Amino acid sequence: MLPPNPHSQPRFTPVQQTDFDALGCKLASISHGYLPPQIKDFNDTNITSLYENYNQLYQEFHAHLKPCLSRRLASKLNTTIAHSLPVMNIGTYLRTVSIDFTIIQYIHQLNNSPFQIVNLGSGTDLRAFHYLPQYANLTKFIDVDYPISLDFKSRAIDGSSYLTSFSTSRYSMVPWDLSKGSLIDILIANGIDVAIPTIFITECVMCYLEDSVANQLIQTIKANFLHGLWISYDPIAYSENDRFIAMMNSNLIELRNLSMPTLLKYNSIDKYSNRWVSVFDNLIAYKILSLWDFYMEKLSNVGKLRLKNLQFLDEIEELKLMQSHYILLSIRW
Amino acid sequence: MDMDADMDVPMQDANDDQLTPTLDSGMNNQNTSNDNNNNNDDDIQNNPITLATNSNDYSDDFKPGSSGIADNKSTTPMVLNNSNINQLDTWIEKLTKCEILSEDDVERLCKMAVDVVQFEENVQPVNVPVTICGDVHGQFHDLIELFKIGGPCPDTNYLFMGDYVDRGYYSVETVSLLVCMKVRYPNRITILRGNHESRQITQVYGFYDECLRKYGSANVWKMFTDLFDYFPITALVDNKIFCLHGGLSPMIETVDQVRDLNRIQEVPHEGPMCDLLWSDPDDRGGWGISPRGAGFTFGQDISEQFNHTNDLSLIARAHQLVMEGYAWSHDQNVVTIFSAPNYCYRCGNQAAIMEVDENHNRQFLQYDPSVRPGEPIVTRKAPDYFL
Repeated sequence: MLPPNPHSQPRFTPVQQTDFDALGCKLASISHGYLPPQIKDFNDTNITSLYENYNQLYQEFHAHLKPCLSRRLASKLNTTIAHSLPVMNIGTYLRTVSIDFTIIQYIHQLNNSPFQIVNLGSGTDLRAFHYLPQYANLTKFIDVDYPISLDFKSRAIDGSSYLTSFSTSRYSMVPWDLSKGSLIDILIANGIDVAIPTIFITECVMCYLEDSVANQLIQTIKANFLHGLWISYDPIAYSENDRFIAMMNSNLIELRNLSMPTLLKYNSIDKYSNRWVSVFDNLIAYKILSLWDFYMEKLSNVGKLRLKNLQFLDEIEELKLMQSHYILLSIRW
Repeated sequence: MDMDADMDVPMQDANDDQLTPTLDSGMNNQNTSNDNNNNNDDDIQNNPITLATNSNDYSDDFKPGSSGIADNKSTTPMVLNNSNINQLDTWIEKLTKCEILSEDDVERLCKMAVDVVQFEENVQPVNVPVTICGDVHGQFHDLIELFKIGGPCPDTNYLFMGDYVDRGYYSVETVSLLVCMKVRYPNRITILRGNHESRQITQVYGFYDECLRKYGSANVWKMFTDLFDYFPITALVDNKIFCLHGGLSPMIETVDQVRDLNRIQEVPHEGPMCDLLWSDPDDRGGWGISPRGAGFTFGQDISEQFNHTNDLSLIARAHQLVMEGYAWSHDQNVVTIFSAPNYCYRCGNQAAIMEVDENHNRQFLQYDPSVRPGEPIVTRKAPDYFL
């Protein structure tokens, strides 16, 4: 392999750059002790076994990512890790554990029968490496993202013998632009079986897609997969002139050239979930809740206290305002 | 050639690339000294993922009083003369343009300020008319907007209920200006202490980092945090409106009990002084555990009893983000005032201040974020979101 050259790094689009935000937030949450979750964090469900190698995975990944980073990117990542505030660290924790929480509940219902996971717009997320060693019946885990994003990710993984040990034949990276037509063929070509229950994850992905592209994606997956679970995490507006979301839109467009085309169109929990509900006529169940609801309902008091005491959480109102504006939808069919 | 220079805009003020906070300074060897213009090389080498150290640990250098601003306190309140009036007017003019004072001038300012605020009471008496303001949080341009809405100081009397620093990008300018005004017009402006006027909180929420970035050392942070120890913690407007940053304490039944506290110290983690700066009103009656982890929640029964016992008409406090800038609670026994519009450049909230006239009539003035004229767009950084 050629030695990585930081100066040969191609440009990332504004959407592709968001992966570095997510990674920086995750590394910050680990660095400050929010992630991985602890058993006492939850009232009734234990998801901690998923996180057995969590710190080591991300530590190793970060270490091997560094040679692939430009100075500015490395510096930006370090800034995020060092300076991330409690509201961001708790939000990152909630986003991460709520998705795993939902996936695990689904897996338990499968009674050890085979299943697959497709992480759409995975970016640098290392979920595959938590799930694959845990579940022998997880027959395939596929990360789908832009070629540039997965190239970046695979360079870091390839640099580490520890990380490559997780990259078994059950794992694939599929470079793909979600706005470019038939995803199904390439998933099948990479070993996905449409007859096996399949979990699709879109974590901050749908919000960046044009309306027609997002709807096409929903229809394609519905038309091809017999059974599955779709988990979607996104920001949400509660009215046409939601002040928090309006400010978010203008901040991101003005300062980062990043647009979220459907955010104000699907401006309620019902409108958001109906994008799936109206398509999946064989729907078994769906659930949508804000991340604030998740925080209030799923976390134990001991867990809340643990998160608050890691740094000085000073503003519950800000945490509530922000987390109310992010939702987790799960669709089971 | 930096191929991804578009990753984030080049920034001076708004950027916090350069320096590490003290919370994990024991864990790596990043240079936190003066070379804050040349940061990239060092940054790349460091920052392994490590658990943060206990934030209670700080070195001797960070101990209260280490700045020396209070080493030669006067035994009588500072007297203004032509010389220091000119000095203060020059500083105010400079700060109003959002330019920081030199470190030496901050030291002079803080020494003068100690000799003003040390003589104020735990319950500082304030006369009407007065305009009561809540959290500002380093949003300097919005503070200037506040003075446009409320009228310039000293034409209008002001009472600020704390939280001048942290979160916003201009904590240094904001707190310097307010302290300058306090020294220049001691009877026209009252500045109380908020829970962010503390050594520990400012190390997490930005003021410490901002001081390092703008001055190249922690000296200015030490001076201001040493000064904060002397700020009054409550005020009483015409014996009728009790003003403070947070709320009530189960250990305080009367205003006189506040007068008995020893306030000249770092904000403690518990006890009455902590509660006054941290507590929140709540819909539930009685005392409750605060979701913040410090202070308490108090119900309408508590507020009514406190106002009745002390012959008060109102408790005015700040501390909580409220989307309209002000919010009544407890059947108008308590009002929350928040004066940082679009808090953290992200929350989309309005701000408000409360005018109280000679006849105790109250009027709220709401305002939106200033457009920040004169601030070039390159200095702005997008606030953090989950992306």
